[in-house]
Amino acid sequence: MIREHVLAIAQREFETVFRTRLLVLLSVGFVGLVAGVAWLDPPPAYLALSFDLLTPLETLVPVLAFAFGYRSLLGDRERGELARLRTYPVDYRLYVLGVYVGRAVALLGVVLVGLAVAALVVPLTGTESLTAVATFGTADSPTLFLRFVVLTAAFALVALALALLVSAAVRSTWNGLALATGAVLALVVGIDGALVGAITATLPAPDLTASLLAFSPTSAYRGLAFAFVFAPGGVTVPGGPPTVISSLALCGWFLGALVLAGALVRR
Amino acid sequence: MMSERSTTDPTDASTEQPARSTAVTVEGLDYAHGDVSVFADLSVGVDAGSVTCVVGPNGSGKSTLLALVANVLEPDAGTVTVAGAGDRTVGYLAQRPEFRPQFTVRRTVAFYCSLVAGSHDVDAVLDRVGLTPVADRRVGALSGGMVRLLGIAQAVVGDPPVLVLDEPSSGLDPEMTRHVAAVVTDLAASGQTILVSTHDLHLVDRFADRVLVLDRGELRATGSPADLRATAGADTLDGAIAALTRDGNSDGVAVSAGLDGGVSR
Amino acid sequence: MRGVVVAGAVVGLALLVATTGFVANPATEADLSPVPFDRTLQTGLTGVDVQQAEADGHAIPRGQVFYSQYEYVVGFHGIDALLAGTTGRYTEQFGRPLAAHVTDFAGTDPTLTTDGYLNRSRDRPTGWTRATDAWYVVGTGARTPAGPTPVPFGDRDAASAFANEYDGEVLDWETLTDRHGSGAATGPPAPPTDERLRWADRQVRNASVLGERPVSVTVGEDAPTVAAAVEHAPPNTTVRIPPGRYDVNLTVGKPITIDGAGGATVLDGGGNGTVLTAASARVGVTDLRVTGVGDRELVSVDESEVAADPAWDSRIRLVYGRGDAGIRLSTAPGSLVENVTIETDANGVVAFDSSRAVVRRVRVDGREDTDTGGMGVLAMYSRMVIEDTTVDGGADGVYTHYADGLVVRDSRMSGMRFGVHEMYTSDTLLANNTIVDTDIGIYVMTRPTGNAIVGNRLRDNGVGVETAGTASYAVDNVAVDNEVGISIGTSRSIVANNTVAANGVGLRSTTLFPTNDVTGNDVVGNDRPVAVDLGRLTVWAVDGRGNYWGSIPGTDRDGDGVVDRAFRPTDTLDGRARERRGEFVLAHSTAVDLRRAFQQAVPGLRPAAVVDPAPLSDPTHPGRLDRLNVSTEE
Repeated sequence: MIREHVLAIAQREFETVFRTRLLVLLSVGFVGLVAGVAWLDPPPAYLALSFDLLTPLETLVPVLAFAFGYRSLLGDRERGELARLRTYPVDYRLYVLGVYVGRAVALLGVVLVGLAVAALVVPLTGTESLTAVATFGTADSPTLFLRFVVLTAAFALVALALALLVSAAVRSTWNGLALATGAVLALVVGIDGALVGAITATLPAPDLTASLLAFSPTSAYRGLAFAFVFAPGGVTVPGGPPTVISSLALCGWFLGALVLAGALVRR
Repeated sequence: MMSERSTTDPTDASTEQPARSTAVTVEGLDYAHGDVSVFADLSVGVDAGSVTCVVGPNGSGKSTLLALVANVLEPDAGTVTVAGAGDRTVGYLAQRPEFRPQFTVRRTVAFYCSLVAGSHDVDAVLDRVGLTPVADRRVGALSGGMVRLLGIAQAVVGDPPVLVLDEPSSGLDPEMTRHVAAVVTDLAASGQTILVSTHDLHLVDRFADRVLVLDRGELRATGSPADLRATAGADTLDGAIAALTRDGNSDGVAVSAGLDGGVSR
Repeated sequence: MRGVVVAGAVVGLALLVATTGFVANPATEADLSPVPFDRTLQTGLTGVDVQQAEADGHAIPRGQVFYSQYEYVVGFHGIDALLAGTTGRYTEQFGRPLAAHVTDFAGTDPTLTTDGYLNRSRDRPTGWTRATDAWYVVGTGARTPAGPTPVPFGDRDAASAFANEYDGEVLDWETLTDRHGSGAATGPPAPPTDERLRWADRQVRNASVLGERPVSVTVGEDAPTVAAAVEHAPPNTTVRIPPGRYDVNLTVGKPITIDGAGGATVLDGGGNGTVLTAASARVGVTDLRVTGVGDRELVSVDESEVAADPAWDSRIRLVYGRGDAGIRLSTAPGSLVENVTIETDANGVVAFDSSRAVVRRVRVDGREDTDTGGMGVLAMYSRMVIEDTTVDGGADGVYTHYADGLVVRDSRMSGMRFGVHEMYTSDTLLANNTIVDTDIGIYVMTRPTGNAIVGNRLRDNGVGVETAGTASYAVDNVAVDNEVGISIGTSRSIVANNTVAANGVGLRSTTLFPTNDVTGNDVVGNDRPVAVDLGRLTVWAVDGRGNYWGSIPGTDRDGDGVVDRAFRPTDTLDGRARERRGEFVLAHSTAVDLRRAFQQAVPGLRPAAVVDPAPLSDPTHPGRLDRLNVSTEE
């Protein structure tokens, strides 16, 4: 029964995304931008492609995730659906879970399609090799890009959880828009900017700097990309990146945001 | 949302008319909207299988009471007890129901059906409220009356023993008002307990078993329409209710109408 | 089934597949086993050194490296080259070495010749061993043509045995790289132009005394024929030939000077073979005209003849070295050819084994209107000076073969295949020449080293300068109106302060080893500033100073002469932004900035392109651009 409820709610959210013209346009835009980054100046290697995509994705993924998520619970509240659902035998936590799952599937679908279209650039535009000279796989491999895809998906899930938190916390469309914009800005530049400020002002121990990265989901994502994609690809990363802290940080942001969203939606 | 309220055997709690079982029992209810008290120690019961109309001037607390009965709001103190077992005990129609405009009528009802146990015939529900002809129309393209019907359809999903309908026909054109009234009458005829608030006293006259006259959060009178006319010594129900609530109105203390609105928003 | 379940399953499955990326280790996925050396991209010792050693049966230790960000296997002739290849600019460009292999001398019973060259006693193909696990014997006196070399062994006992026999020391890779560290070539040194010019001046001074020898015999007065005059003339005197036409097919076997009366003295070979051959040191040929040269610029050879000659370059020697010429210097070191005009369908002057010879103020009129014919001056095994010489027509103005250290200056070539064509020749200086209307003005081939191309003017050629090899210089040249201005095929070389204007393509990069210093060039008014044929992303700037590209997007805010925005001459947007307002504005957009933010990373995995991270705001040679009438505001 619980599974049925979650799936029914998820299905409705999933459909809502694709029946909302703005979100469809945004999704097409996202795929277009990601593909554009790759195809405008085609890199012949997955490692180079990951490098090119990292910075755009740090911006585009939160924007897309918040577009997908910030109206979800807020809209339900405004339409009285949250109130109506209290007359049904559905746990509010399951409702938040269902909303999250439905939107997450849609979001991940769009992100994966974007990355797949971008990835096609490598096999399709491969520069001609000198046939007389021996070539080998180099450290570049689709493996690295697959890792990048997984990390980006994780980042998207965290961003969506944060979007749902905003959606659960606000009471009106304008507040929601303002808070969502603020949250995206914080994710993209704000938190990292503050970290940079804090670190330059106080010059903490190297270990502490690594731990501070946990405060920024974006930096955690970037850190993991450096650790699992770029470093194995032969890019030197000094001192070894703090993968455990970054992983825990992403998990923490994810769970924390969802649980808090569940608590706030009931209010 | 998980009901946190007690559901009891109908024979258990009968306060006013022990002869009939009570579907809804409200006892010692306190509710404040912010700093403004709406109800203080309100107690009232609703007979099982009856049609009970809540009437009163704007701001009297009708919508709030209905929302409390439907568990959409939680009381500050006191209990709301709904009799009846099952997956869903109360169906609720908000004053101005809204639905996701992207979905069709059928898809919308199907969603609510999927939230209650057992299999449900979506078409039967649509048929019951007369939405079959527009089943495949998007909600965004529906008229206000049709949305109201969709709200009623949603309310009857899962066959809850108690239906709480907040102003089902207000603001509709005469034809749609008649249609909504007919639907409500049919529901009443099928034996469901109905608690309905309305300004339409013709409607009240037609199908109310019992009327609750509410004013400024207080229960001024209860009884059948005929009882009320007799009590107030008035020829019409309109006049009776005006007489019963005159004191409150002449005070000039109007509880904000926004309070009602705040329930469903 | 619900759509969300299907989509969720698809997304979940895709992510599940993607997580396999964490299981596999990409670096070990690649097959890093050694490949046949001739299938590597080779660098290191020069072509001559390698060919010579091979011809003599000597072994040169070799290495091959698999870089993390470069798809080609790079082969190194010589251990020093391998060490340089595992550090510094190579790793910046190609990523860290995933694997390095080195020649394994274990089991080949290596010996050293008295000169220190490595011979393998046992005739078995030398295998490869992991460079990091190998043992290196140093201090044995083992050498390659380039200098002392460590000898690598895959087996420690074999290394110790070799070390004992030749009094050496066994090192592991770590120690070897540490010792090499300080001596590692970081960048090419400044061009040794002055030193080479001084050397040329000395040769000219030494040779010019040949024109001051006393006259001992005058043809027509003291002897009836030129041949008789030569026979009678004692060494270190001059045979004077008055105006007139003389039938000559003559070999001069002693150090005398043949002096004419200018263009009126004509030596005529009658269209048969070489007209005048100098077969002694310090022969002078001055002030005359040579005509009637035979028409065999090349000599076809028997394969048996080639096979009989053990030299690595026997074919070249036999084919090119024996053609007909106006004047042939055959083992005539220190000879002088001055103020001579040669009309020829074959070669003008051939210098064979004649170092320190000087050819000056010579004019060679070769075959017209065709790319065939002979060479104006052909220098084989001859470190010589060619100056103030004009070559018109024929195949190549100057053709060099293994003539290390040769200097060509102040000369003019026009209407031919290649102006100066260097084969297997290193450490030359080509200075202040004017080369017009050729297929390729200056063409360096065959992986040499240390060639300097300085201050030449190249106009109306297919390619102005085409370089190759390592540690070379193309500096201060002016390339105008060519199809391609300067084509860079070198590695670890300098291309600096050239003026490259109004060509079809200004600079072209053809190197697979983008390790050149390209800086201070004024590249303006070309149809395309830069074309890249091969290779990967290349960064063109040295110590924060790039090249001048005309008016480009970006400004020099701090007035240090460097525009605060990287310029990508190979990029369509940047290229057009120099001329078109729309592209100029767009080039400053955040989108473009974002796109570029990371694009300089992992250059070894980038498509062929050029980035100038520090373009200059003002030209290096504004005066030249003014004179060329090239507007810097395009």
